[in-house]
Amino acid sequence: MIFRSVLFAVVALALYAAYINYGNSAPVAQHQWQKNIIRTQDYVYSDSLRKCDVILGTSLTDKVNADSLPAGVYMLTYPGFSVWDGFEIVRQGNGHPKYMFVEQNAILKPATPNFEDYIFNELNYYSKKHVPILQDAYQPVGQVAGYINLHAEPRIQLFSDYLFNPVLRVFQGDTIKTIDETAHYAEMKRLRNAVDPVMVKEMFTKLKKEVDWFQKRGTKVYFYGTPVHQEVYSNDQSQAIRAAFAQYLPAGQYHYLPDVDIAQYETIRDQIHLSGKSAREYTKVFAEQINGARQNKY
Amino acid sequence: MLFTDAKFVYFFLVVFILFYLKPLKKYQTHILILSSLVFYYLNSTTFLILLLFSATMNVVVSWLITKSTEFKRRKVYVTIGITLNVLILVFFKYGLMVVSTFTKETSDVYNFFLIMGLPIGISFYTFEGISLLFDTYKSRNASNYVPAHQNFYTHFKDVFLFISFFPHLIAGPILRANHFFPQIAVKRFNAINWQYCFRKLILGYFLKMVVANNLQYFTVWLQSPAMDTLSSLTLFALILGFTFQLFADFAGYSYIALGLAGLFGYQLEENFDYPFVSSSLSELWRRWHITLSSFLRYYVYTNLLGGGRRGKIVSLFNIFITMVIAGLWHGSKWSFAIWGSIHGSALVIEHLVKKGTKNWGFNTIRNILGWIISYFFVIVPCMALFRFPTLQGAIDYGMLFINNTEFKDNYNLITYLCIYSSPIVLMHLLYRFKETITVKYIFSKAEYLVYGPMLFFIIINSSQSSAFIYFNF
Repeated sequence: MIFRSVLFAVVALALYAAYINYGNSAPVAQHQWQKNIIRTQDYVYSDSLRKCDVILGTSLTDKVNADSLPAGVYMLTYPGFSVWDGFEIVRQGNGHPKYMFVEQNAILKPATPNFEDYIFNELNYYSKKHVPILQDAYQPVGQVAGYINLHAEPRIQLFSDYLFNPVLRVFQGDTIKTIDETAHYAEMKRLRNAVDPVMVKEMFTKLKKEVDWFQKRGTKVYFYGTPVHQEVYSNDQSQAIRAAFAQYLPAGQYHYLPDVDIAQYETIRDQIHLSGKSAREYTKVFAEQINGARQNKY
Repeated sequence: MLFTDAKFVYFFLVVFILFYLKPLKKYQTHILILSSLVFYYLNSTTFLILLLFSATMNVVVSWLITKSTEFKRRKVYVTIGITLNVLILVFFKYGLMVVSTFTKETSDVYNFFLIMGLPIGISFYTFEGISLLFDTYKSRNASNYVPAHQNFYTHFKDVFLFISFFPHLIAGPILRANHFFPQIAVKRFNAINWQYCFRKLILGYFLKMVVANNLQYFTVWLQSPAMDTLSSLTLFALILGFTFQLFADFAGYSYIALGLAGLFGYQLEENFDYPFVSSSLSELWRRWHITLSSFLRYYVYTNLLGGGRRGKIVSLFNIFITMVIAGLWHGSKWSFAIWGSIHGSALVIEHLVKKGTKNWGFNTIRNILGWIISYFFVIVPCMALFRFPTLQGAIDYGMLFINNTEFKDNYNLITYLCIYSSPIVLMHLLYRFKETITVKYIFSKAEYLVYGPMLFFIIINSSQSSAFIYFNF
């Protein structure tokens, strides 16, 4: 039984490899976490990408349209993750960017546990590097999900419209109640105003070390802030971050892209992510700033 | 270091080779104890001291019970031992919950408990300590008691292995002393039941790495404000997906534990028996986390609370109390107590309904109705209390679920949840129809058609490893 099971798996792998190589397959990310992993695997397994300039950011920068940026720039922007993950990936992945652009806004968010280990542990790193079908972009479920989704959609809709929702509406009563959004807003505001001075000191000491290490290796590091809502811009945490940058990484000794006028941009409900229109406008400005930095304007 | 980490593979290989090396044969128990302590240290660092203290205390008390010739003295020892175990559990696991109920979040006491954190596996090894003391006490008091000729050092080793054996140390299965102790002996490499280990390991790793680890990236939507604009059907699919994720995560861990223990020649008790085929809540609790259910049934319901010895009403009340304790065992939050109370009340109602309708016939219809009511009105809705860190979160979820009928369904999310949940449904269907010719043939002649695809998916469709959910308990 054991031998036959292993043989079955080996044959299935061989057939699947043939499908990926010669069939109608394309890389697929099943969820945001996997998008981050695929983006990273593309970077660490490609010699040419590791020489590109990199942008290290979070979901705030991820709103920028990568296709509109200057050539030779790779976005290591991770929604849900941290800028620190980007630093780790470039360092452990042996990247050699000439320019590195680091988002300032969420610098206090710590690195994601286990992410680097997943990319760089010996079993994963070498197997996925040398056998590309093992990379996350080619998982069988991702390959078939699109097809299943296409066929499932009308059936789900039918079930939802004619059975599930009508039954639920019986329990709704006259007024449809929604949850108390003011409580969410208050909690969000409380968290965004919280400042832990010990953590700030720890993070910025680490950041200074990290930046110095890259600069010694010939990478020029630029910091930039993405536009956010005025309320977020002026809250306690944002002020503490800006003050810490000025204290630990002062302009003159370290490099900054020029600040943008936040009044020119609008954000979505969460006050930190740019709306589609503003993201397109910011992409243009950001692209110009990157070109300027490459010409040592700042 | 998780069972799914690459580091664990190296750790396991070293221990496995040392364990079966001929010159080290007589040190097998030592090797397992030492490696278990290293394993615990790598997961929980300083709390190793607590594990050592707890194990040593149980060694001493169980030794005193065994050696004492007076019944009264044995009773004192067992009472002290069990009380100490309970106090350790209450202090380290429920300290924060109690303190947060009576003091402010800014108080020093609150901060002390907050910083201290939860020692991994404390609920499991404390319960095993209680089991050891009570079983020793019971067997010592039995009329047919035969004294074991064992010195203190051997007793010390055996108890330490029982409590710290690394496959079960962090998240069970909860061992019973009278099941594990008879197995302690010198083990031979050629006595390993490879097929048993292969089945358990493949099923365990498949459930954890392919099903649970992938589902977690979709059920992550179950939090505010992300879920606020999801449709009712999407929210329902998410909580159902979380139910399957929880099962796959914990059952996966348990099967891996069984497989690993099997490679060292030990057979641990099964923790799951296809729980989703249960047609009632009482059946579910005989099939889900079996070692906890049987622990609670034997030690708490029967021996501590008196079971059904004091009449029907007291018996029903005891069921309710046992379920509240089961709820609190799962987590040091009041929402878990509510979860236990709902399950306890539902079990009491189920007992009454079953008693009142036992002569009505229509067994198939009753079973189907029982299944629908148990799952869709108790188990799945109660999962919200498991999923959300606060009671308010669970209430918000309920409100959104009832009212978000006008929002558009997220087809992509629902599709992925269905795909990753389908292996759980399939394995239960295979179990349900195990007597049919096709299923019988597969499991007798062509098992590779089950384990081969699972192995294929483990290799190619695993997701990033994450801590087992039951580590929190």
